[in-house]
Amino acid sequence: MSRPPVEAFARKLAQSTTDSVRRATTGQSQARVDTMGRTFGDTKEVRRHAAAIKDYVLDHLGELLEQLENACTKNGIQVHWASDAAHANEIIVGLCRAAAPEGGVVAKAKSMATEEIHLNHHLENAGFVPVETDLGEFVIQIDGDTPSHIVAPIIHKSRFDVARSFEREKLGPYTEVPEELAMQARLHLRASFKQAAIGVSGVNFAVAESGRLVIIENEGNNRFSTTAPRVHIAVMGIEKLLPREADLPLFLRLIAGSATGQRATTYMHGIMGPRRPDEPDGPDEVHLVLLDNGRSKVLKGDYRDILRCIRCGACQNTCPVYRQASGHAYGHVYSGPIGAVLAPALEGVAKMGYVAKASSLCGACEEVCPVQIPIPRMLLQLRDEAFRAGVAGDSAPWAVYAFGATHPSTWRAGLKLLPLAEAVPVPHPLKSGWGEFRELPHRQGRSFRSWWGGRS
Amino acid sequence: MSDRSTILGAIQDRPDGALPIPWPGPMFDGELVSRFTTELGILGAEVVSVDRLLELAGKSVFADEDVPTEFLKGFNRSDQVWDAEVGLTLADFAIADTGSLVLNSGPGRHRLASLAPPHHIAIVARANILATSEAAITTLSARTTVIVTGPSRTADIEGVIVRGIHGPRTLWVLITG
Repeated sequence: MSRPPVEAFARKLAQSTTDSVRRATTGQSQARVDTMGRTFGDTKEVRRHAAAIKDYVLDHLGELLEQLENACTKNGIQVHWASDAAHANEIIVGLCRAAAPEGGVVAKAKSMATEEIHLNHHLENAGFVPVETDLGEFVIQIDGDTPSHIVAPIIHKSRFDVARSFEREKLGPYTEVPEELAMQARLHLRASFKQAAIGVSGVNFAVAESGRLVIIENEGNNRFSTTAPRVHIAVMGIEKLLPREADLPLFLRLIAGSATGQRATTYMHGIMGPRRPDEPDGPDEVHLVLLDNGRSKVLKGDYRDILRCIRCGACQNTCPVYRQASGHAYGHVYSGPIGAVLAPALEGVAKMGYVAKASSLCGACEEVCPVQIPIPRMLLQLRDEAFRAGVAGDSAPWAVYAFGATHPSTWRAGLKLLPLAEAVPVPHPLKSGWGEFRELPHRQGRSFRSWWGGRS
Repeated sequence: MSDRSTILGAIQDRPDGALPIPWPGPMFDGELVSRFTTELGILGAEVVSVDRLLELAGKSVFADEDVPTEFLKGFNRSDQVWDAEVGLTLADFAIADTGSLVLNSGPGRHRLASLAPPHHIAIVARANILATSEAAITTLSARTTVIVTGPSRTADIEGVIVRGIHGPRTLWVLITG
């Protein structure tokens, strides 16, 4: 019997990988609980508040995007619109060519939007050298790997993996000490910040009323990438808006607390345009690329609420399936509970519907979500859609069970045959899949129906 | 059709529904300076007195143009922000609740001064220590701003916190006035 893809992947994982993922996700979950509790006490009220603000954004998205465009333009930020990944890449490559016709280094700060459109691949094809400058993303890049977590891209790797990669890339003498590995990366990446004519980043929040692009981080590579190069290009999904500056503190608290259990991230960069004539440094040009890539379609459908997501990764950290399977199992840039909804919502059930099965529907993801996205309900609906589309049917034994359970006469006949079936030494049809880690029920004499009928 | 009109044409707004008032922020009680000092300490940074600067005598310093010269005594003034050992800047505001510093850019304010040198020292006036980020948000200037909360850090390798990955490893704050 073929297994669902996420489970099949999880089974092939090395124990050390599963251990790395489990250790990191449980640690982050505890940090989240501690910090959110300290800041908010009961989080229910603030999560409801944040969800209501994001709902307002989605209800007024057209209006707020135009407001953002106007405010950014006033600030000197050049706004570009990209309806899909191909157009976004075309725009960004075009901007890079204009800024550095001879090619060269592009300093990249961690950004899920640029992962989504596979920007690095397009930059390389155009003769540029994109350098990922976040430590985790840098390791991903030199390994030719892909990030397995929204916030912690190398959650699936150990210090020994990083040590071997750095030795192979000749970044310094072999070491397994995280501090020393980090310092080797610091030294190596400093050169990129000085060299790059272009810096590319994502955006965490864009404030419609002021045109401020807000980027949060802990390392400082994002500040370097958006400050030192002559041209800064920011790429942002169209849903990542906040109406007012006064909405920032709540969302900054929620994303720091939910993502890493911090009360505030180390840096919040609030970009209000290029270097002004009286300022000594900063980029000469700032560009904002507004990326749709399926979002306006999601906005119209049943999975609209998923666009409230602020990409904190709390649902990944808390999900029992993610903890066992790790992010790569989902086969998409967005993994875990958020990915199990976002991937099929953006790319269609036919292509990505299978990931909706990778959940026990325990509800932990909805419970931790800072914007109260009803992920389990959406997963159920996606499963239904996938089933109806014929892309994720039941396995054969369950199909037999489903037929029996919906046809009473067949069920009754089947029950009568059960003692006979038990006498024949064939393996139970559910033993190899569903029953592998579960105790299958034993027949307890007579059936419920006969007991119920004979009751006095 | 341009991408702009394609995207905006695909979005149908639902104009009813009011925008909730901004979240007012957590209750804050306590003394501003002591709370700021405690929070900064938790982050692995510290509030220092002017005397501590003597420890850095002879080091190269890249300073904001508006830093009073009394704080530059003993340093080797440098104009190389990438190579200086110490970055000395003013902070416009501090936030007691989270141990944060608000640094607005502006004339004489080099954005890299608080980032490139391995040791950052920020000077903030006692009167500019605010309670919460909700209070501080109204002070953000119409220019590019950075809010700094502790030294540069990463936890990418096995969740081990390493300070000074790209930005400063050491952060000191001098409170004046």
